[in-house]
Amino acid sequence: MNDLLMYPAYIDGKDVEHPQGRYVHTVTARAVLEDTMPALALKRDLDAGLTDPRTAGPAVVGGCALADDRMATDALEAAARAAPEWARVPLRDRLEIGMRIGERLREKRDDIVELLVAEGQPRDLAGPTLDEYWRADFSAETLTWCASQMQTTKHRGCGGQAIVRRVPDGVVCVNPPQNASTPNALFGATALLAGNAVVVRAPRGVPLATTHALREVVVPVLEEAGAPTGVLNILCGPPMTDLWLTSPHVNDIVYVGGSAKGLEFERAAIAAGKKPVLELAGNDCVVVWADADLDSAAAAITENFRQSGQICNIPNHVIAHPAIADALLEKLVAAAAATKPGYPDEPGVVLTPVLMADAYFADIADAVRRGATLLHGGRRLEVDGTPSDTGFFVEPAVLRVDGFDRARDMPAVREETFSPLLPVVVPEEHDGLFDEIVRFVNANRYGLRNSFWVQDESLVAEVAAGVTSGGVVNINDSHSAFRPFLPTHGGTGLTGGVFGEANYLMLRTTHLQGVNINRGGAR
Amino acid sequence: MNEHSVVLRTPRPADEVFDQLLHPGRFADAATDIESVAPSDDGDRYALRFRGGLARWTQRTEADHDARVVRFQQVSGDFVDFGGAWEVEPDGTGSRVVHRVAFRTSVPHLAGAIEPVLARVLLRAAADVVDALAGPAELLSGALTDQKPSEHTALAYAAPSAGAPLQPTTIPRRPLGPNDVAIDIRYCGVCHSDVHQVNGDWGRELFPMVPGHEIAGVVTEIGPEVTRHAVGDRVGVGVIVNSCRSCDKCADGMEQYCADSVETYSDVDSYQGGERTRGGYSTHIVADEHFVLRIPDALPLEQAAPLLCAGITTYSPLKHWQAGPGRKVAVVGLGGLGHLAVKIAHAMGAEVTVLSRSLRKKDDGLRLGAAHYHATEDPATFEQLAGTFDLILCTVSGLSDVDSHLTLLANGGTMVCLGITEESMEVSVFSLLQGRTSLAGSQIGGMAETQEMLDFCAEHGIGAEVEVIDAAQINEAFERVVAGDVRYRFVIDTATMTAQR
Repeated sequence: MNDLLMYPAYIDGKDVEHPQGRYVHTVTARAVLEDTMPALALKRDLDAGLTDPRTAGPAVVGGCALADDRMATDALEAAARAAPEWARVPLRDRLEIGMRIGERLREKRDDIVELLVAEGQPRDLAGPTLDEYWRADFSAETLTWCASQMQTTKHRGCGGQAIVRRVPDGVVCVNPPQNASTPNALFGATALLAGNAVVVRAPRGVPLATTHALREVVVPVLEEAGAPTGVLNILCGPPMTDLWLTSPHVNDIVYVGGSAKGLEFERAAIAAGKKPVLELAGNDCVVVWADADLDSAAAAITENFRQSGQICNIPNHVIAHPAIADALLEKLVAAAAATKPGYPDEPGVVLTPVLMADAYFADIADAVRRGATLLHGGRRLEVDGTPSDTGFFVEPAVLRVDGFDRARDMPAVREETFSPLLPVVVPEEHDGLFDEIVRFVNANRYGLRNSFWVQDESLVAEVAAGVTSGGVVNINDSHSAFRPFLPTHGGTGLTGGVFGEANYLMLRTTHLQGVNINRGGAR
Repeated sequence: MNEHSVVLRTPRPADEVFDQLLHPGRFADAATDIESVAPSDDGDRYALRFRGGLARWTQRTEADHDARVVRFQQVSGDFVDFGGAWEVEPDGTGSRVVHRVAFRTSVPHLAGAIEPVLARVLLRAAADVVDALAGPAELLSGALTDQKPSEHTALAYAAPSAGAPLQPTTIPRRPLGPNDVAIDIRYCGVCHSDVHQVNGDWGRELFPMVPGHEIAGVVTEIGPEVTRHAVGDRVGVGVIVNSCRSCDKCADGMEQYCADSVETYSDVDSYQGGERTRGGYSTHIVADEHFVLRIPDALPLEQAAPLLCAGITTYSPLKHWQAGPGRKVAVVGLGGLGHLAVKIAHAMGAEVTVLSRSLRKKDDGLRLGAAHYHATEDPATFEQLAGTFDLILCTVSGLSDVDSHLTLLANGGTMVCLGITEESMEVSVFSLLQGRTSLAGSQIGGMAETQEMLDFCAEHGIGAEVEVIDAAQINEAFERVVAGDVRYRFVIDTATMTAQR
């Protein structure tokens, strides 16, 4: 028999089962990649209750109870009950809880990694991704800075006080995406630290690592601290945004997903009187100037290949100074050629099955039609790396696009492609080139992150002064890494919606309020 | 459930092809993807080779011999759901075979990777079955391999079947012939007839359909014998892309009336080896230089695009019936055609009157160049204006009271119908006798005349009034066209076209 991890829903501090006992089971990604159809049939029979997971063999690692409408509603009611009491817990106590969550995440990291790998996340990415959360989002630096923004008190004469503070919105619902469920669920949990009650819906495709991380890391810390029950509720089920939009208990909804649907959601949320906090697509640019450290720049750019380009905060296009373009492209092509498919548990693997391979081929074909040169890639691959018409993987692709004129009209450059596709724009050299690059970067309709690789200090200052779009602009650093104190999420334009900016949930899920205490008699 | 389909053509007659499909026991020998098909009491047991393993299911099959349709449905097997159909229909002396499958699997977070590949194997097996048992089969639509990077591929929006919403897709464009011009499409207008044809209203449409015949763009490449256009030129393509070029009409520069002219989309170009034509809701097009027009620099491309259909459709009759100083011209309907008719007739020097259902757009009409504006919902209009106009351009489709409009013509005047409808119209002969009036029609214009129109519009600063939309808004725009909610033409910014995602 297997040692299975079976999680009921967690509502109002209690384990809750689906009325018919239904579960969503995790069949390992390795099993699906090795022999697809039997693995799919097994998963179907497990979920239908026709097969006992305890005797189903090593392909099954666990499951999460499916939540029905009643359970989804109960979770919102529990959160609404818990929110007022939780909001009165002093901020410093909640901050302490945040730091303990970070410590516990560090301790439990390896267990969560195993589940992420079972769900298909490459081992080489899963651990480092989790590390970023205890190092950044739950770090003392980030949390104390957020806390410093939460309240400022000025003393007025005769013992009076003027206080400007951020007050928790109330109930925050979090909808993490399938491509990065666990990290975004952990991110969603930071809304707790501002004094909100939180409901997390784990997606049905990959609920286990997410549920495990919240249940084994966040819940114990909350319980130890004596937080009211219902302050965090965890369920797995179909999308619940419609329910959330109509529920009187919900204040904010953290929506992570694509831009088109996300902006539609933003309109619906505003119409329904809910605050939308959006984490949508990115189309991040990496600029490599003539004086850049090319090896480091190339390493940052090839972060594009992680999860086959199917995460938001990775580079999506490059602008290479003409003087170093050939050398940089040579490094990128070599890196692309060395990046192979594989099983998620194998070391050295970063590629994962591509969900929109047709778009990858169409984007390349269109770019070539518009004058780009395909330097590497453009084939479908089996898990062992052999080219095949029926593989689930694709080769990382490198495209050279000469001139901004071509690049401006090219969807592969202008849009998030969500595949391992690196268009490298090589503009013509001229006097105003740096300014033109800054304008090009600022004209990006998306606004997650942008990176510059440039040594010249006067140009570094130009970047800092001139690049005002996006949630983060990096200069001479990893593109996608999370750094303590700096924002890890959020952005402008198609990334963050109308109210988009760098996203600290402690700040985005609270609202400003002034408190005036007058002890000197009205003047 | 997503449906996946493949369309094949074979030279064998439909009944013979259909008969072969009734014997699945032969399929395994015909298609390497099929490991085995074995009959059983529950149905046919299939084993399909898939990525080194097998997909297994048992399906129940029903054949409708009269319709030449075989429907099948999984009764047990590896899918959550699985079903589909074979459809065979005669096509000339041969036949067309459609194979459709729809299925669901159980791993949502990998479905995007698994299902298209699984569909590919199922469709490839079906194509092999037809090819081996009733072939040779030619693939008409459906992708069995990945798209290869090619300069001949364009992104496009297509309606997969009559009435279906337009979806992003990719289409082939032919390699450049000696007289061909390759055009990077920048803008394409949305014409009401696009909506009709996507809906299959005229009964002769070919699907999947890429609509669009108001195309404006820039030349990216020219064939060796091209003399009229150069790389970088601003150019347009309108409603037709070919004609016989030997009949009297072609010789007179009226290619649009050639019996064998080829429309820009939803047509078959017999001069290009029977190539299916695909229109301007697309990033690129290749066309014979004779049917490519020069767009003068003074015209912004987005405003020029609608001139290629709406502009020439109104310019040609205005010129033919001599709109000009001293002539009174009425324009019925102030929409995509009507607003250009007003601008052009005014620029020609005619005294222009708009006849619209209501006075809602009166300010617009006067701004565009009309001297008068009357509501046709007001019966007094017809009394007041009786016997007034030398020329009436009717830009609405399906005008219900033709007779009362004819009473507005002066002696010897002409009413020209431009709006297209599949309905026939009722006219009393008396309406024509009294005043020796004419009821006429007119259809776009010849190539030389279209060029003349573009030059005229540039000279007079006439462009269409447009609302530029992203490709993703096309279906919404169609609804708004039907509702009459556009001032006055939607134009698609093709730079916003992206691959299906």
